[in-house]
Amino acid sequence: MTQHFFVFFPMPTLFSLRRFCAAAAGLLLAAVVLAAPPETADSAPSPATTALPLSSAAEQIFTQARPRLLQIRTLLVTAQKQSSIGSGFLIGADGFALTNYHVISQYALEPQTYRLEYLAPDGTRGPLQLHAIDIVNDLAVVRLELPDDAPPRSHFTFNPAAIADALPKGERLFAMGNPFDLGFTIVEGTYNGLVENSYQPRIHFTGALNPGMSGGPAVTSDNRIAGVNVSKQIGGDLVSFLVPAAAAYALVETARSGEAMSPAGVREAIREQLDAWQNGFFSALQKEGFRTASFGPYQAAESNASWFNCWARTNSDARPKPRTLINSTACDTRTALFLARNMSSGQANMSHTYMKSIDLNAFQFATQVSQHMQPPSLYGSRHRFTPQQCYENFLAPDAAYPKRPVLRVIWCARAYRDFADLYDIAVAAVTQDSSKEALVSHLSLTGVSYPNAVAFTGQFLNALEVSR
Amino acid sequence: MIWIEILSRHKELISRSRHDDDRGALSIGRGYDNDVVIDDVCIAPQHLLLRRDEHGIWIVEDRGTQNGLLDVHGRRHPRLVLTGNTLFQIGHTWLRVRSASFPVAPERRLTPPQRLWPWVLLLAVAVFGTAALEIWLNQTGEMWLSRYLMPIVSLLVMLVIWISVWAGLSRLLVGAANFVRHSFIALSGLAVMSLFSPLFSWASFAFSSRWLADYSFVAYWLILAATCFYHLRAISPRHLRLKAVIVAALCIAAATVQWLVKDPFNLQHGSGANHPYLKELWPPAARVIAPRPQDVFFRNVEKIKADLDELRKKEPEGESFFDMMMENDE
Repeated sequence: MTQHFFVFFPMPTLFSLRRFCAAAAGLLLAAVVLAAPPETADSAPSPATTALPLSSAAEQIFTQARPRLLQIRTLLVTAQKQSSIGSGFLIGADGFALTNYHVISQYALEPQTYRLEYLAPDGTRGPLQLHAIDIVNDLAVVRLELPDDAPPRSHFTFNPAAIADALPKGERLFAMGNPFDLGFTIVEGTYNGLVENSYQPRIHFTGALNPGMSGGPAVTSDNRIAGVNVSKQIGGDLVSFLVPAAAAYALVETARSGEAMSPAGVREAIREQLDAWQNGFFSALQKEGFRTASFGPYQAAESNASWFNCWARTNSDARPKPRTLINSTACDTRTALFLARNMSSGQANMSHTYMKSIDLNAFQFATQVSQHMQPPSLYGSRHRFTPQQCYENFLAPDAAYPKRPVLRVIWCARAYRDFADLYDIAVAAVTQDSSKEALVSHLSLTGVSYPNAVAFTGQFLNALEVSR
Repeated sequence: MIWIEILSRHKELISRSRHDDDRGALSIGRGYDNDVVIDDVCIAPQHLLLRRDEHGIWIVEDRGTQNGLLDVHGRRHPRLVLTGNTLFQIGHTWLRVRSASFPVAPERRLTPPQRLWPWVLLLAVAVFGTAALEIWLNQTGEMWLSRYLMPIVSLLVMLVIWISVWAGLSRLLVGAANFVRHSFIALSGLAVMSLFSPLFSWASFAFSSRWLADYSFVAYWLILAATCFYHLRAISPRHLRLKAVIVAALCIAAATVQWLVKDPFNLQHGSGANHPYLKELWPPAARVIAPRPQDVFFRNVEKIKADLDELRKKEPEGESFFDMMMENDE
């Protein structure tokens, strides 16, 4: 029952677009059919004729904002065709614009294969330079390549209350962007404060965000920036997310003073940001501390941090009656850092599964435990990650942790090819003190330095105790 | 007294005739005036003269024929000195000459006919019992009869096919099917195999040795090779060395192919992240090696980092399943 966040992948390929056009034609047809009855209806007023006129606020905001909006396109250099699309908005008279990192991620990592282009609502288009990225907040600052004598561009400013995180819950927000390449649109919605239980600050925006609107602005009614469109909850209704204005403001300020980034600079920046992020994450985790959770005679550590989303499950009510009692809890950080379409990072998962034989003998129980033993497979592109390497052995109780039983531990890790000193790890441990009950514990961390991974795994394993 | 033996192309005895040697010479040919008459169109009417030389040793002489007198290597000779084991060829016919004083091996001990079928039954019970036990020990859900029957019946069918193939070959080549003997051999091989399989599984857990799990397939090929060798020996006990060499060569080839196929698989998934051994557990009491102290364990974990940093420098090879999925996605 874990929840999954869907980061808007910018519209993927022409094939999808074509498929989409067919769907759009279907929608139009449906709309025509639905619109037909009012014309023939003679008496009863239909909902269509009694609908309120378009919100005048939205109309004014969109008229004013229109010249400041951009569609950001990633083009395949060889084909000169768009590979993905997203939105963006001007933030400075000199052509600086904000968008999501994930909108420009293909260009950021493969600048030989892709290039960036903007398309303004008036139809003008031109190349873009990449000036700054913030992968933790999924932001990027780009700059329009304008001639020196170009007139100053109309642009957005930030809402000071939004930067100070002082917007009242329920405030009306307007999100803009170009969904599905259908043209620039404006969407009304509600500000619902910061998402609770999230390590990365995100604004909960109740409004309809759709693929292609990523990187577009969300403004307050005075047409000032409150956040940047970023994602929506799959399976939710109007549950969407914005990057808070404060992060965007800070990134724009740093970008203004700097030069355009080189391809090597982009990779180094991602590496540095990931490294800093994981150091921050692990020290925050230590600061929040751990609590002891009991599973039968076993004890294990669970994080106190509120940004872990935990679920428990049991098979005790399963039919046919199970022959092993299996109770498990699984905790994971809700969010992931998007690095590329085939690479996300910055996740931590911990789970404990307590198993007790009801009428299985020692061999049968060992087989049952085996089925829960496999460390989570680290799937991923071979061009992004090295093959996975594993080490497995029995781990003895330690003088410092005398209550820890003998464990069988499997440690698997892989390295990022693009970013030095960052790894994904997956650990599985099972207690070896009884032939009729066991605790299977899993830990997986992505985008972590090796020392942090080893230290945290040590802490995770040391907290496993048995008392009979 | 002297014996002239006519042999087949495979050097098996066809007929043997006895001749008095008091005349000191015998003639061999197709003509009816010879002492030994052979119906072979490639033999001359008067082909060979068989006589004693000045030392009293038997020799054969070519009587000036077109096809001549050939030794076992197909070389032509005007005359050949005969020991009791000299084979020679005229036309399409092989001949051997032995005098009455030719020594023969002492009599072999008479062995009573082996009653193998009780053993066959015993082995069958052992093999299928082990299979059923293994299924039972891996049973974690409800006990359904089908869970036992399916693997056991398929094992039985495969076994019957295997034995029938060998018995059929035996019937074809030497005229006797020897079904019971081939059953005995096949079941023995299977019994050894069903002992080895849990043994390897246990040992790799008990010693936490991936090496044992990785190379256990060599043992399986060796068992299969040995079984095939005994089947071949049961068909006919001749050319044992040649049979052993052929079986060994096939075994090495099969093991090599498996090793080559296995290696890219490991590369693809890293050092066996999906290795079945990694998650295979036995009851805790089955462990033999001492558990590793904390510092030793984490020192080995650190070694993985060095391996990964080494792998980072290498270019990735081919596409993973994940890459293919992502491409299909679009």
